[in-house]
Amino acid sequence: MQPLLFASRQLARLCLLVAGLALLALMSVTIVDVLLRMAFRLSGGALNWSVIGSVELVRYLLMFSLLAAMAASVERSQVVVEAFSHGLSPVLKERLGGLFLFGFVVLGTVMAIGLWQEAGIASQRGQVTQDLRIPMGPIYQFGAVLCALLALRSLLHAVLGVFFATEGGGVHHE
Amino acid sequence: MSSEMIGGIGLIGLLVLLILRVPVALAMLIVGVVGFAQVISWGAALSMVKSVPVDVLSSYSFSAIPMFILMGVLAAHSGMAGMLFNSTRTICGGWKGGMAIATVGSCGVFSAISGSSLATASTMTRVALPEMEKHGYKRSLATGTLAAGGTLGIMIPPSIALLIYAVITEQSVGDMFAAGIIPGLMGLLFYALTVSVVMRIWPDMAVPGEPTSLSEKLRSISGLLPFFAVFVIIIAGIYQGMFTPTEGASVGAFATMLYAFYKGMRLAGLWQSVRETLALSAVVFFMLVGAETLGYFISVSRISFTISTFLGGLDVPTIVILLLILLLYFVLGMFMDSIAMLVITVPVVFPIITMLGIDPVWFGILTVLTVELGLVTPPVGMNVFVIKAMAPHVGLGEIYRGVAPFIVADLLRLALLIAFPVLSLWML
Repeated sequence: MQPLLFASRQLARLCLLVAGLALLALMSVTIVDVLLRMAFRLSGGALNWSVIGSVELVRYLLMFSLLAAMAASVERSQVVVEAFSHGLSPVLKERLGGLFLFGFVVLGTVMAIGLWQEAGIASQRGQVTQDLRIPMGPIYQFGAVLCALLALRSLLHAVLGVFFATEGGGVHHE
Repeated sequence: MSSEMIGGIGLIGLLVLLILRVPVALAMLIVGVVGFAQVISWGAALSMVKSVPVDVLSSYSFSAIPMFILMGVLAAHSGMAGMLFNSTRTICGGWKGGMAIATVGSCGVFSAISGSSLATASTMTRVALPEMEKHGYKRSLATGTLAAGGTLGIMIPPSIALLIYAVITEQSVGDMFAAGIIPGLMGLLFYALTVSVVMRIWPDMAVPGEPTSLSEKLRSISGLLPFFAVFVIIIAGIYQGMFTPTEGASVGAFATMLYAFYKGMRLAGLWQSVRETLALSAVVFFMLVGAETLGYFISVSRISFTISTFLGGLDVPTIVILLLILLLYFVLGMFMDSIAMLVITVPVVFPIITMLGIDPVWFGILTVLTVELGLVTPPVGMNVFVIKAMAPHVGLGEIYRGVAPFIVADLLRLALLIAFPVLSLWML
C-alpha cells in the first residue's frame, strides 16, 4: 500500500506544479493584455503594443491547468449526494469511493487516446494555432499526457480504496 | 424505443446513480454517454467523450472560475477578512446583536470579491465565531448568522454560480452580474433585519457590544477599503469597457494578490493559495465536464422539448409552472450541492423556460436564489456542514435552529423577486 501512496503523492506533486504554473501564467497573460490595451487607450493610440493570441494562450493554459489539477486531486474532488447513505460505515464508503474512481480511469484513458490521436493528425497535417502559429501536435500530446496522469492516479486510488479501504475517495465534499 | 423515452429513463437512471452515492460528475458522464449511445450510436458517444471534456476545459469563458476562486482564497490568506470583521463590528458597536449584524455585513462584503458561498462561510466562521462566542452570543444565533451570511456569496457579483448559469445558458455574464446586485443587497438588508427581529423576540440571544464613538466608526471604515477597491476595479473596469467580465476575474485576482503581498504574504503563501484554488477548481470542473456530456444527451433525446410542449399545453398560467420549477429546485436543494444542482438541471429546464417566454436572466436570479436556500436547508446544507466542520463543538441541530429565521427571510425575498421582476432586471 505504501508504494502506491508514495507514487500517487509524487504524481500529484508534479501535476500541481504544472497546474499552478499554468494558472499563474494564465493570469499574467490576461493582466499584460489588459494593461497594454489600457496603455493604448490612454495614449490615444501612440503605444500600440498588444499581446497577440492572448485568447488562445488563455485557452490552452486553462486546459493544462485544469487537466493537471483534476489529475492531482481526483480522489478528493468528487461531490456525492449523502442524503441516503449516512448509515454506511466509513470503510464501505471508502470501498465504494474507490470503485467509482474506476470510472475516472476510463474517462482519463479515453481522453488521453483521443488527444493522442488528435496530436497525430495535427502533426501529419502540420496544423498550427490560429494567431501564434504554434504547432498543435505538441499541445495535444501534452494534454494527452495529463489525461493519462488523471487515469493513472484514479487507478492508484481506486485500488487503494477497493482493496485497502483508504484514500479511495471516501473523503468528499458533502 | 423513442428518444424521448430514452431521455426519461436516463433522467431516472441519473437519480438512481446519485442515490447510490455515485459521484455527481461520474453519474452525469455515465448517463450522458450511455444515453447518447442509445439515441445516436456508440461510435458517436465515444467521440463525444474524447472531445467534450477538452472543449469544456479549454473554454475561454470558464477561465474566470479559477480566477474568482483565487481572488477569494487570496483575500482569506491576506488577513483582509479579519480587518473587514473588525471594521464592521466597530461600526455596529453598541447595537444589540451588533456583532451578528457585523457578521452579515462582513459576509456580504467578503462575498463581493470571493464569488463562493463556501469560501465566504468558512473564512468568516474562522474570524467571527470565536469572537461571538467570547462575547456571549448563543451558538445558534452565531452559527445561524454565519451559515446564512455565507450564502450571500452565491448572489452578490462576481458570483461563480451566476457565471456558470450564464455560460450554460449563453446569457451575458455582465447582465447576470448586474441582475444579481439588487437581490444580493436585499439579502444583506433582510439578514440584518432578521438579526434585529430575532433580538427583539429573544433578547437573551446576545448581549450588546461595547459602544463605539462616531470617530471610531469613521476610522474603522479603512478596513473596508481594500474590498471596495477590488470590487470597484472589477465592476468599473467591466462597465467602462476596459476589460470583459472574464478578464475582470484575472484583474481582481491580480489586485488581491498585490494587496496580499503588500500585507506580507510570501511566495509560499501564494503557492498555498494556488493549491487551494486548484483543488476547488477541480471540484467544479469535474461537474462541468459531466454536465456538458449530460447536456448533449438531453439535447438529442428531445426530452426537454417534450416536457416543454406538455407544459405549454397545460391550461395553467406560466407563473404556476415557474413556481413548480422553483419548488423542485427547493426540494432538490435539500439533498444536493448547489453547483451540482445547477449544472444538472439547467440544461433540462432552460429550454422549457425559453419556450414559456420567461426572461432567462430573471429566471437565473430566481434559480440561483432558490439554490442558495439549499445551502442552509436540512438534511444536506453545505454551509451548515462547513460551519459544523470548523466548529465541532456546536450541534447540527443548533445551527439549523439558528438558520431557520434566515430561511424565512430568504423566502420573503424570493417572493418579492417573483412578484417584482424589475428588482432583478432594473440594472440591465
